[in-house]
Amino acid sequence: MRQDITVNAEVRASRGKNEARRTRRAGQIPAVVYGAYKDPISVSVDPREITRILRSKTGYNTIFNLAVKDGETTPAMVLDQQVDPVKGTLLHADLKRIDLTKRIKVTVPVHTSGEPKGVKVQGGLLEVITRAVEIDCLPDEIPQDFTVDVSELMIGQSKRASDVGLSGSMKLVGAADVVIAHVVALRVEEAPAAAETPAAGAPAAGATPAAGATPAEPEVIKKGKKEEEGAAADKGKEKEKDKGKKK
Amino acid sequence: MMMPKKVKYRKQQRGRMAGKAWRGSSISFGDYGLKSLQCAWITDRQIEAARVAMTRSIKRGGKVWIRLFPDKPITKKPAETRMGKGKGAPEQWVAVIRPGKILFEMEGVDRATASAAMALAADKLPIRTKFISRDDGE
Repeated sequence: MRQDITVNAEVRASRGKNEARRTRRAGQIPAVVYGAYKDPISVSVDPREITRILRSKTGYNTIFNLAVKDGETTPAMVLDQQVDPVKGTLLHADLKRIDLTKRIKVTVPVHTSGEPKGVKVQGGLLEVITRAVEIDCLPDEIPQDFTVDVSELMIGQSKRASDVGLSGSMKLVGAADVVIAHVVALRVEEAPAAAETPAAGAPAAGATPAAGATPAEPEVIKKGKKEEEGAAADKGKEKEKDKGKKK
Repeated sequence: MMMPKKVKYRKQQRGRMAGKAWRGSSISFGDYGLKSLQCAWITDRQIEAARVAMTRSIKRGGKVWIRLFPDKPITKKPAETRMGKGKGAPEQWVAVIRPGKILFEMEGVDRATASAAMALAADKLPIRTKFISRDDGE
Protein backbone atom coordinates (compact mmCIF):
# COMPACT_ATOMS: atom_id res chain seq x y z
CA MET A 1 0.00 0.00 0.00
CA ARG A 2 1.42 3.38 -0.99
CA GLN A 3 2.00 5.89 1.79
CA ASP A 4 3.09 9.51 1.57
CA ILE A 5 6.29 8.97 3.55
CA THR A 6 9.76 10.07 2.50
CA VAL A 7 12.83 8.29 3.82
CA ASN A 8 16.12 10.12 3.35
CA ALA A 9 19.24 8.12 2.50
CA GLU A 10 22.89 8.91 1.97
CA VAL A 11 25.20 6.99 -0.31
CA ARG A 12 27.89 5.02 1.55
CA ALA A 13 31.28 5.10 -0.10
CA SER A 14 32.98 2.49 2.06
CA ARG A 15 31.89 -1.02 2.99
CA GLY A 16 32.76 -3.67 5.54
CA LYS A 17 31.81 -4.50 9.12
CA ASN A 18 33.99 -1.80 10.67
CA GLU A 19 32.40 0.92 8.57
CA ALA A 20 28.93 -0.58 9.23
CA ARG A 21 29.59 -0.37 12.97
CA ARG A 22 30.74 3.25 12.64
CA THR A 23 27.52 4.00 10.73
CA ARG A 24 25.43 2.41 13.51
CA ARG A 25 27.33 4.34 16.17
CA ALA A 26 26.50 7.55 14.30
CA GLY A 27 22.77 6.78 14.65
CA GLN A 28 22.24 5.46 11.12
CA ILE A 29 22.05 1.91 9.78
CA PRO A 30 23.59 0.49 6.61
CA ALA A 31 21.11 -0.41 3.87
CA VAL A 32 21.17 -1.46 0.26
CA VAL A 33 18.86 -0.30 -2.54
CA TYR A 34 18.28 -2.54 -5.53
CA GLY A 35 15.67 -3.55 -8.10
CA ALA A 36 13.95 -2.07 -11.17
CA TYR A 37 16.85 -3.23 -13.39
CA LYS A 38 19.20 -0.59 -11.97
CA ASP A 39 22.54 -1.02 -10.22
CA PRO A 40 22.44 -1.62 -6.48
CA ILE A 41 23.71 1.16 -4.24
CA SER A 42 24.86 1.06 -0.62
CA VAL A 43 23.19 3.71 1.51
CA SER A 44 22.71 4.64 5.14
CA VAL A 45 19.26 5.47 6.55
CA ASP A 46 17.71 6.50 9.83
CA PRO A 47 16.57 3.29 11.61
CA ARG A 48 13.72 5.13 13.34
CA GLU A 49 12.09 5.94 9.98
CA ILE A 50 12.32 2.31 8.83
CA THR A 51 11.09 0.99 12.20
CA ARG A 52 8.13 3.37 12.06
CA ILE A 53 7.24 2.02 8.61
CA LEU A 54 7.60 -1.62 9.70
CA ARG A 55 5.46 -1.11 12.79
CA SER A 56 2.72 0.75 10.89
CA LYS A 57 -0.49 -1.06 9.93
CA THR A 58 0.74 -1.72 6.42
CA GLY A 59 4.10 -2.99 7.72
CA TYR A 60 6.40 -4.62 5.17
CA ASN A 61 4.05 -3.79 2.31
CA THR A 62 4.33 -0.03 2.72
CA ILE A 63 5.54 1.68 -0.43
CA PHE A 64 7.31 4.91 0.49
CA ASN A 65 9.49 7.44 -1.32
CA LEU A 66 13.20 6.90 -0.94
CA ALA A 67 15.16 10.09 -1.47
CA VAL A 68 18.87 9.43 -1.94
CA LYS A 69 20.94 12.56 -1.26
CA ASP A 70 22.33 13.94 -4.54
CA GLY A 71 20.65 11.08 -6.37
CA GLU A 72 17.39 9.42 -7.30
CA THR A 73 13.98 9.65 -5.62
CA THR A 74 12.08 6.45 -6.14
CA PRO A 75 9.20 4.47 -4.64
CA ALA A 76 10.62 1.65 -2.51
CA MET A 77 9.71 -1.13 -0.08
CA VAL A 78 11.54 -2.83 2.77
CA LEU A 79 12.26 -6.30 1.43
CA ASP A 80 14.36 -7.70 4.26
CA GLN A 81 15.87 -6.62 7.56
CA GLN A 82 18.36 -7.71 10.18
CA VAL A 83 17.33 -7.24 13.77
CA ASP A 84 19.39 -7.58 16.94
CA PRO A 85 18.04 -10.73 18.65
CA VAL A 86 18.19 -9.25 22.15
CA LYS A 87 17.53 -5.51 21.76
CA GLY A 88 15.20 -5.79 18.78
CA THR A 89 16.87 -2.82 17.07
CA LEU A 90 17.41 -2.66 13.32
CA LEU A 91 20.90 -3.52 12.08
CA HIS A 92 20.48 -3.52 8.30
CA ALA A 93 17.70 -3.14 5.73
CA ASP A 94 17.20 -4.25 2.14
CA LEU A 95 15.22 -1.66 0.17
CA LYS A 96 13.75 -2.50 -3.21
CA ARG A 97 12.87 0.03 -5.90
CA ILE A 98 9.28 -0.47 -7.03
CA ASP A 99 8.03 0.05 -10.57
CA LEU A 100 4.43 1.08 -9.98
CA THR A 101 3.30 -0.19 -13.39
CA LYS A 102 4.58 -3.76 -12.92
CA ARG A 103 3.01 -6.57 -10.91
CA ILE A 104 4.87 -7.69 -7.79
CA LYS A 105 4.66 -10.58 -5.37
CA VAL A 106 3.98 -9.58 -1.78
CA THR A 107 3.16 -11.42 1.44
CA VAL A 108 -0.01 -10.13 3.06
CA PRO A 109 -0.95 -10.98 6.68
CA VAL A 110 -4.12 -13.00 7.25
CA HIS A 111 -6.16 -12.40 10.42
CA THR A 112 -9.05 -14.45 11.76
CA SER A 113 -12.30 -12.96 12.99
CA GLY A 114 -14.98 -14.37 15.28
CA GLU A 115 -14.93 -17.19 17.81
CA PRO A 116 -15.45 -20.59 16.19
CA LYS A 117 -18.44 -22.72 17.20
CA GLY A 118 -16.01 -25.57 17.68
CA VAL A 119 -14.35 -23.57 20.46
CA LYS A 120 -17.50 -22.13 22.02
CA VAL A 121 -19.74 -25.20 21.89
CA GLN A 122 -17.43 -28.20 21.47
CA GLY A 123 -14.51 -26.95 23.56
CA GLY A 124 -11.90 -27.22 20.81
CA LEU A 125 -8.88 -25.07 20.11
CA LEU A 126 -8.48 -22.68 17.17
CA GLU A 127 -5.05 -23.16 15.64
CA VAL A 128 -3.78 -20.56 13.18
CA ILE A 129 -1.44 -22.40 10.82
CA THR A 130 -0.66 -19.81 8.15
CA ARG A 131 -0.39 -16.18 9.15
CA ALA A 132 0.35 -14.67 5.73
CA VAL A 133 -0.32 -15.52 2.08
CA GLU A 134 1.69 -14.54 -0.96
CA ILE A 135 -0.20 -12.75 -3.70
CA ASP A 136 0.65 -11.30 -7.08
CA CYS A 137 -0.79 -7.83 -7.74
CA LEU A 138 -0.08 -4.28 -8.82
CA PRO A 139 1.76 -2.14 -6.23
CA ASP A 140 -1.24 0.16 -5.78
CA GLU A 141 -3.54 -2.79 -5.09
CA ILE A 142 -1.63 -4.27 -2.13
CA PRO A 143 -4.15 -4.75 0.70
CA GLN A 144 -3.32 -3.97 4.32
CA ASP A 145 -4.41 -7.46 5.41
CA PHE A 146 -6.96 -10.20 4.76
CA THR A 147 -9.59 -11.28 7.27
CA VAL A 148 -11.00 -14.80 7.33
CA ASP A 149 -14.23 -15.41 9.24
CA VAL A 150 -13.79 -18.54 11.37
CA SER A 151 -16.99 -18.25 13.43
CA GLU A 152 -18.69 -21.19 11.67
CA LEU A 153 -15.82 -23.65 12.10
CA MET A 154 -16.48 -26.84 14.07
CA ILE A 155 -13.87 -29.33 15.29
CA GLY A 156 -12.09 -30.86 12.31
CA GLN A 157 -13.04 -28.06 9.92
CA SER A 158 -10.61 -25.59 8.41
CA LYS A 159 -10.31 -22.44 6.33
CA ARG A 160 -7.90 -22.55 3.42
CA ALA A 161 -6.00 -20.03 1.33
CA SER A 162 -8.71 -20.26 -1.33
CA ASP A 163 -11.20 -18.83 1.22
CA VAL A 164 -9.26 -15.55 1.37
CA GLY A 165 -11.25 -12.87 -0.47
CA LEU A 166 -9.08 -11.58 -3.30
CA SER A 167 -10.24 -8.47 -5.13
CA GLY A 168 -9.23 -6.71 -8.35
CA SER A 169 -6.43 -8.36 -10.30
CA MET A 170 -4.91 -10.13 -7.28
CA LYS A 171 -3.76 -13.69 -7.79
CA LEU A 172 -2.79 -16.21 -5.15
CA VAL A 173 0.79 -17.42 -5.43
CA GLY A 174 1.31 -20.97 -4.25
CA ALA A 175 -1.12 -23.71 -3.27
CA ALA A 176 -4.75 -22.74 -2.74
CA ASP A 177 -5.34 -25.61 -0.30
CA VAL A 178 -2.93 -24.36 2.34
CA VAL A 179 -4.71 -24.37 5.72
CA ILE A 180 -5.07 -20.90 7.23
CA ALA A 181 -6.75 -21.97 10.48
CA HIS A 182 -8.50 -25.03 11.85
CA VAL A 183 -10.26 -26.12 15.01
CA VAL A 184 -8.79 -29.15 16.76
CA ALA A 185 -9.88 -31.15 19.77
CA LEU A 186 -7.88 -30.43 22.90
CA ARG A 187 -5.44 -33.16 23.85
CA VAL A 188 -5.49 -34.07 27.50
CA GLU A 189 -1.93 -34.80 28.56
CA GLU A 190 -2.37 -37.96 30.61
CA ALA A 191 1.18 -39.34 30.51
CA PRO A 192 2.85 -36.28 32.08
CA ALA A 193 0.07 -36.09 34.70
CA ALA A 194 0.77 -39.71 35.67
CA ALA A 195 4.45 -38.89 35.91
CA GLU A 196 3.75 -35.80 38.00
CA THR A 197 1.66 -37.64 40.63
CA PRO A 198 4.45 -39.91 41.90
CA ALA A 199 6.76 -36.92 41.94
CA ALA A 200 4.46 -35.23 44.44
CA GLY A 201 4.59 -38.19 46.79
CA ALA A 202 8.00 -39.44 45.79
CA PRO A 203 8.92 -41.52 48.88
CA ALA A 204 5.69 -43.57 48.72
CA ALA A 205 5.93 -44.29 45.02
CA GLY A 206 9.68 -44.71 45.08
CA ALA A 207 9.54 -48.51 45.01
CA THR A 208 7.78 -48.76 41.66
CA PRO A 209 9.29 -46.84 38.76
CA ALA A 210 6.86 -44.54 36.94
CA ALA A 211 5.58 -45.67 33.56
CA GLY A 212 7.08 -42.63 31.83
CA ALA A 213 10.50 -43.07 33.48
CA THR A 214 13.30 -42.12 31.08
CA PRO A 215 15.98 -44.62 30.18
CA ALA A 216 19.37 -43.96 31.77
CA GLU A 217 21.28 -43.27 28.57
CA PRO A 218 20.44 -42.94 24.87
CA GLU A 219 21.64 -45.38 22.27
CA VAL A 220 25.12 -44.63 20.89
CA ILE A 221 25.01 -44.84 17.08
CA LYS A 222 28.69 -45.35 16.29
CA LYS A 223 29.22 -48.15 18.80
CA GLY A 224 26.40 -50.26 17.36
CA LYS A 225 27.68 -49.87 13.78
CA LYS A 226 31.20 -50.83 14.82
CA GLU A 227 29.94 -53.99 16.47
CA GLU A 228 28.01 -54.97 13.34
CA GLU A 229 31.02 -54.28 11.14
CA GLY A 230 33.24 -56.20 13.57
CA ALA A 231 30.85 -59.13 13.58
CA ALA A 232 30.81 -59.16 9.77
CA ALA A 233 34.62 -59.09 9.69
CA ASP A 234 34.80 -61.98 12.16
CA LYS A 235 32.42 -64.01 9.99
CA GLY A 236 34.64 -63.35 6.95
CA LYS A 237 37.73 -64.50 8.82
CA GLU A 238 35.99 -67.69 9.95
CA LYS A 239 34.99 -68.47 6.34
CA GLU A 240 38.58 -68.00 5.18
CA LYS A 241 39.80 -70.30 7.95
CA ASP A 242 37.28 -72.96 6.92
CA LYS A 243 38.42 -72.71 3.29
CA GLY A 244 42.06 -73.13 4.42
CA LYS A 245 41.16 -76.22 6.43
CA LYS A 246 39.31 -77.78 3.46
CA LYS A 247 42.34 -77.23 1.25
CA MET B 1 12.63 -35.67 30.98
CA MET B 2 13.77 -34.63 27.51
CA MET B 3 16.88 -36.32 26.11
CA PRO B 4 18.05 -37.53 22.69
CA LYS B 5 17.04 -41.02 21.57
CA LYS B 6 20.34 -41.68 19.83
CA VAL B 7 23.72 -39.98 20.13
CA LYS B 8 26.95 -40.37 18.21
CA TYR B 9 29.17 -39.96 21.29
CA ARG B 10 28.30 -40.47 24.96
CA LYS B 11 30.33 -37.53 26.27
CA GLN B 12 31.06 -34.01 25.02
CA GLN B 13 33.50 -31.25 25.85
CA ARG B 14 32.07 -28.21 27.57
CA GLY B 15 32.23 -25.69 24.71
CA ARG B 16 31.58 -21.93 24.74
CA MET B 17 28.43 -19.85 25.05
CA ALA B 18 29.67 -16.63 23.45
CA GLY B 19 27.55 -14.49 21.16
CA LYS B 20 23.85 -14.11 20.57
CA ALA B 21 21.23 -16.54 19.30
CA TRP B 22 20.91 -15.43 15.68
CA ARG B 23 18.69 -18.39 14.89
CA GLY B 24 15.49 -19.22 16.74
CA SER B 25 15.22 -15.65 17.97
CA SER B 26 11.76 -14.78 16.64
CA ILE B 27 8.29 -16.16 17.34
CA SER B 28 7.51 -18.85 14.77
CA PHE B 29 4.48 -20.82 15.94
CA GLY B 30 2.40 -19.13 18.63
CA ASP B 31 1.33 -15.63 19.59
CA TYR B 32 3.45 -15.20 22.72
CA GLY B 33 6.96 -16.23 23.65
CA LEU B 34 9.61 -16.20 26.35
CA LYS B 35 12.97 -14.86 25.20
CA SER B 36 16.26 -15.46 27.00
CA LEU B 37 18.37 -12.43 27.90
CA GLN B 38 21.41 -14.32 29.20
CA CYS B 39 23.42 -17.36 28.29
CA ALA B 40 23.18 -20.56 30.34
CA TRP B 41 22.97 -24.32 30.35
CA ILE B 42 19.30 -25.16 30.94
CA THR B 43 18.85 -28.68 32.25
CA ASP B 44 16.18 -31.19 31.28
CA ARG B 45 14.69 -30.91 34.78
CA GLN B 46 14.37 -27.12 34.51
CA ILE B 47 12.68 -27.42 31.10
CA GLU B 48 10.24 -30.00 32.48
CA ALA B 49 9.51 -27.86 35.55
CA ALA B 50 8.82 -24.83 33.35
CA ARG B 51 6.57 -26.86 31.04
CA VAL B 52 4.55 -28.28 33.94
CA ALA B 53 4.17 -24.81 35.49
CA MET B 54 2.92 -23.38 32.19
CA THR B 55 0.48 -26.15 31.34
CA ARG B 56 -0.96 -26.12 34.87
CA SER B 57 -1.33 -22.35 34.75
CA ILE B 58 -3.27 -22.27 31.48
CA LYS B 59 -5.29 -25.37 32.54
CA ARG B 60 -7.30 -26.54 29.57
CA GLY B 61 -6.99 -24.46 26.46
CA GLY B 62 -3.97 -23.08 24.76
CA LYS B 63 -1.02 -24.76 23.15
CA VAL B 64 2.61 -24.66 24.20
CA TRP B 65 5.71 -25.08 22.06
CA ILE B 66 9.08 -25.91 23.59
CA ARG B 67 11.76 -24.36 21.38
CA LEU B 68 14.79 -25.74 23.21
CA PHE B 69 16.09 -29.29 23.50
CA PRO B 70 18.69 -30.61 25.92
CA ASP B 71 21.10 -32.40 23.58
CA LYS B 72 24.36 -31.85 25.46
CA PRO B 73 25.44 -34.52 27.98
CA ILE B 74 27.05 -33.26 31.19
CA THR B 75 29.28 -35.67 33.06
CA LYS B 76 30.15 -35.76 36.75
CA LYS B 77 32.67 -37.70 38.78
CA PRO B 78 31.32 -39.57 41.81
CA ALA B 79 31.80 -38.02 45.23
CA GLU B 80 35.07 -38.62 47.08
CA THR B 81 36.86 -39.78 43.94
CA ARG B 82 40.51 -38.98 43.30
CA MET B 83 41.35 -36.95 40.21
CA GLY B 84 42.27 -38.78 37.04
CA LYS B 85 41.00 -42.18 35.88
CA GLY B 86 39.12 -40.59 33.00
CA LYS B 87 36.02 -38.47 32.52
CA GLY B 88 33.00 -39.08 34.74
CA ALA B 89 29.70 -40.68 33.78
CA PRO B 90 26.94 -38.71 32.00
CA GLU B 91 24.79 -37.17 34.72
CA GLN B 92 22.30 -34.88 33.00
CA TRP B 93 21.33 -33.26 29.70
CA VAL B 94 21.38 -29.53 29.03
CA ALA B 95 20.40 -27.09 26.30
CA VAL B 96 22.99 -24.41 25.51
CA ILE B 97 21.10 -21.12 25.49
CA ARG B 98 22.40 -17.82 24.19
CA PRO B 99 20.76 -14.39 24.63
CA GLY B 100 17.87 -13.82 22.24
CA LYS B 101 16.71 -17.43 21.98
CA ILE B 102 12.97 -18.07 22.15
CA LEU B 103 12.50 -20.71 24.83
CA PHE B 104 8.73 -21.29 24.82
CA GLU B 105 5.80 -20.20 22.70
CA MET B 106 2.09 -20.17 23.45
CA GLU B 107 -1.16 -19.79 21.53
CA GLY B 108 -4.90 -19.99 22.23
CA VAL B 109 -4.96 -17.90 25.42
CA ASP B 110 -5.25 -14.18 26.13
CA ARG B 111 -2.21 -12.02 26.79
CA ALA B 112 -2.68 -11.79 30.56
CA THR B 113 -2.96 -15.57 30.95
CA ALA B 114 0.04 -16.15 28.71
CA SER B 115 2.09 -13.56 30.58
CA ALA B 116 1.24 -15.11 33.97
CA ALA B 117 2.06 -18.63 32.73
CA MET B 118 5.35 -17.50 31.20
CA ALA B 119 6.28 -15.72 34.46
CA LEU B 120 5.81 -19.00 36.34
CA ALA B 121 7.94 -20.79 33.76
CA ALA B 122 10.61 -18.08 33.96
CA ASP B 123 10.85 -18.63 37.71
CA LYS B 124 12.02 -22.20 37.03
CA LEU B 125 14.87 -21.09 34.78
CA PRO B 126 18.37 -19.97 35.79
CA ILE B 127 18.40 -16.89 33.51
CA ARG B 128 16.68 -13.56 33.02
CA THR B 129 13.96 -13.69 30.38
CA LYS B 130 11.53 -11.38 28.63
CA PHE B 131 7.88 -11.95 27.68
CA ILE B 132 7.25 -11.01 24.06
CA SER B 133 4.27 -11.18 21.74
CA ARG B 134 3.83 -11.24 18.00
CA ASP B 135 2.01 -7.89 18.16
CA ASP B 136 5.08 -6.22 19.66
CA GLY B 137 6.76 -6.52 16.28
CA GLU B 138 9.76 -8.42 17.60
